[in-house]
Amino acid sequence: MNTKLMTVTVIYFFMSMLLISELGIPFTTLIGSLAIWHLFLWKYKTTSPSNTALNVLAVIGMVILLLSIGVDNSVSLFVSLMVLACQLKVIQAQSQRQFQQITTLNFFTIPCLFLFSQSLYTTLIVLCSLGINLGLMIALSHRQPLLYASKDAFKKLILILPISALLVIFLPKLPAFWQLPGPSLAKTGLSEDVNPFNIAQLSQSDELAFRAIIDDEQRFNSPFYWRAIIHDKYDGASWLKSNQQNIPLRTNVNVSGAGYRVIAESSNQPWLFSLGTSVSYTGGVSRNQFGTLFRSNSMSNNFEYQAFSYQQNLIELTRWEYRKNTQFPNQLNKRAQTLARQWDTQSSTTAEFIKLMKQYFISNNYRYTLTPAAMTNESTIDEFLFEQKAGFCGHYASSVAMMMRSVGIPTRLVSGYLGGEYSVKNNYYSVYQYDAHAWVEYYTPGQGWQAIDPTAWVSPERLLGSLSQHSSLSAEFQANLGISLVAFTGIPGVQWLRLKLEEYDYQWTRWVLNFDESKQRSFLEKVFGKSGRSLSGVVAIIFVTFILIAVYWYMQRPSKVNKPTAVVLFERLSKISKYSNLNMSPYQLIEALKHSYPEQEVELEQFYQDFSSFRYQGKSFSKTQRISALKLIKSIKRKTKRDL
Amino acid sequence: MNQFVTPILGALSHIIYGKDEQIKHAVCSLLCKGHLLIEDLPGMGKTTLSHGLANVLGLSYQRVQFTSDLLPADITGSAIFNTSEHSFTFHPGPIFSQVMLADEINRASPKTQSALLEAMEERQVTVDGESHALPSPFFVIATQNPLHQSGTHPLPESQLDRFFMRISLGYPNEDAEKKLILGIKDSIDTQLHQVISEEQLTHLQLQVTCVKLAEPVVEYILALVRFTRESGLFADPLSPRASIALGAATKAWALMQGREYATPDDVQAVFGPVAAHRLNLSCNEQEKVISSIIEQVLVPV
Repeated sequence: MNTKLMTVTVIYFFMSMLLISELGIPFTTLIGSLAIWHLFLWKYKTTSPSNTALNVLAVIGMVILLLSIGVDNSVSLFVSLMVLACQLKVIQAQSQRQFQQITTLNFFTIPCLFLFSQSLYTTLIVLCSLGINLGLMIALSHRQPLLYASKDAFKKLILILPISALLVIFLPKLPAFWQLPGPSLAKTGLSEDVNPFNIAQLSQSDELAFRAIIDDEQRFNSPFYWRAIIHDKYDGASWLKSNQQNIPLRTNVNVSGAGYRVIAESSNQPWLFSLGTSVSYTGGVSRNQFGTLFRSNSMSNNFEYQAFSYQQNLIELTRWEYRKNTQFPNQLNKRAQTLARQWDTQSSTTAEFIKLMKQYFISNNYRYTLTPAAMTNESTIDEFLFEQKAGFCGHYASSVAMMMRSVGIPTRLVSGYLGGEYSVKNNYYSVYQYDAHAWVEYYTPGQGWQAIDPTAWVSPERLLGSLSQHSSLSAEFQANLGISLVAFTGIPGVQWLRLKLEEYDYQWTRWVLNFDESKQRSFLEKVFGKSGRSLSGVVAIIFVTFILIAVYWYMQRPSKVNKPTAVVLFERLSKISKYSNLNMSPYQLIEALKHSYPEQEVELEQFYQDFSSFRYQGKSFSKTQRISALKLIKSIKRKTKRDL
Repeated sequence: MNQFVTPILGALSHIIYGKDEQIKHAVCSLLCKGHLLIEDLPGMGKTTLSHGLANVLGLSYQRVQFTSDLLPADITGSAIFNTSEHSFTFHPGPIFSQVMLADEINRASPKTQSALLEAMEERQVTVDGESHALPSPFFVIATQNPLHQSGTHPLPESQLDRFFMRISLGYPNEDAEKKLILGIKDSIDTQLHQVISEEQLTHLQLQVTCVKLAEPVVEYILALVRFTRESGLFADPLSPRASIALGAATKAWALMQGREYATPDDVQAVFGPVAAHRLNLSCNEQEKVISSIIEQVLVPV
């Protein structure tokens, strides 16, 4: 049982902890118990378990993973199986060859973390783990202590950095030859079907959804309603995604202004985020008839696009569209329908109807909560409106939309994000998954589609910014988040730290992850002028040649042998003494010094003993010896000066 | 000081006054199983020293006075016809003893000299095709008169190299000489008795090989040897055999100092006796030249 291999086990365990939300608790438990078993085997110096036992364990583990993750989520399954296999191999490994297999395979296993997250911190974690793995590789093959080998490995990694930076900047960006389907992330605050009523607790994540830079500040004002998915089918329980949501529309529209830029985090969903009705000319982004954006190829990496808003032409709804947007199951939620009809008779226009509705919500003490009770009744909206009277955005939007539909106003539900956290320094907004929101759009002839946010009637604070700034909800909000930095915002320093980390991650995303072909082109053109791309090739070749030559020189340099501490100290002592230009052996020098400084005789004798036992007997020179030697040198120096 | 070496030196200092350094060198050479050459004028105590050494160590001792008509067989021994048995039997010469004093070696003819030196190197004697091993330990102390004296054949360089060390006793100081005049004229035999056993001597000789010769010390030896070769000051620079001898002598010196590791100071202490005769330096110039070499070659830290 090799002690160094415990490091690999620790890395796997750490990985499984990081992936706990993606791969589930059974996976982490499995890896954790294997790690404990390995620790046990190592601690009690037991021999490795038999191959049969390991095979049985492998089968059991595979069954557990298949049951807990499922076959559909092939990427997650693959990663979990990979880690399981590697961990079992680590427990089995005994020969040098197997060590090599493990360390080599780790260069593939550890970067699997990138499939789930590409943030700066994941990158740092992966880099560190790879560095340790490289150190382990050196330590195992050269039989060196791990710490020493790791230092060496990290030094080598730092050497690589300039080359990798060069490759990022100058290497032509080719499209990927093949792609992994990407793990299906369940963390997104958006879902294609909105059914707020069966959720007892809105599980929220503090993960970043996207970042936005608003270039056209006059046009876009807070609160920012980021539209993502239009739901126009209501089945009595959930609001389903519109069929037209992913049908691209290619009509020309008039845009003006600078628009805004969005850096979307990987989400594995095609839906992008737009302010109002927007269009984007970034490659791979399409617009649908609702003016929301989506990606034509769903990719799991980060993605930046620029979008401009436009004024939607006023078009009359077709009969078919009208029917679609007023459809609802009328045998459910009778009380809500009655209420709506009552308002309808009192009002003559849609605006008045909405006003009545708003007054009703305000005057009846509806409450905004992140932890509503689950609705058990079949008529969920009735139960919400007349019994619970507490809910989050989905409840309000859904109820209002249903009631408006019941009186024949074409209405649809929009889900997206509201607000965002503004970073003053870099002038961008960070929108998190917990900023997910749902609101309502209704149609009036002559005015087209307009948005109302029923949640705002109940909780106007929600409009002010990000949910994290919502004061009255903060306790509830933080409880929902569980352990994360956002949850500790109240503690001084934490908020600062969180914003700082967030800022670094932003820079990383913006300048490294999203350094795509167009950015590369514009960068090269900025640096080298119009013929930038062709010139950059030449520059790249020259640069690479230069680096190779430099590396060659570096390798060929005469290896500088570091002088041992004792020798350095002795030379320093000799230099400061008045005998520095005499050719004396160490013993003679010390004797001479003893003669000149009789009061230091004991220290000098001690130093000579230490020196000679290090230099002539091959013993070690300890730290305390070094310290006392330094002290001696200091006092001799002082005395020599005084003599002069 | 090593616990076994101290009594040897103590005993010898009773018969040779005020020559501690030379006595130490003689013992050092013996610990390295090397032969010793004492170059001095007649009557300086060469014989006394060699006889004393043999006594102190409890070794068998023979003395041969070299003259110009001395033949090789006079040293090695020869086969003599035994009339009663009607066969030749080998009669070992004076070389078959543990310590042999070759007095005034440069008075003998080169032929005799080389016979002795061959025996020294091979530690065996071949007479009439029959090899006879010499006793162990085998230690030759040769004395030599300064070359300017009449009737001397100088030892060739190749043979000088076989002597591990060359020492020169020199005149005693005033105190010592006064003591000599006043005092002890009794026979040395009664005064000196064996101080260490043969096993202890063998053990000491073995211990010498175990002394640690650290990197900087080896470097220092190399630097000294390289200096004699590269400075162009010497017609006969030091040979690798000299380097080996220097290393061994350094170790023995360190052991005599009671250490199990050598330092550059040990090298300096033995450099003169080991190197001087190999560099063809006369006893008079030896001190000056050797100290100038030591001054010029940097001591590695």
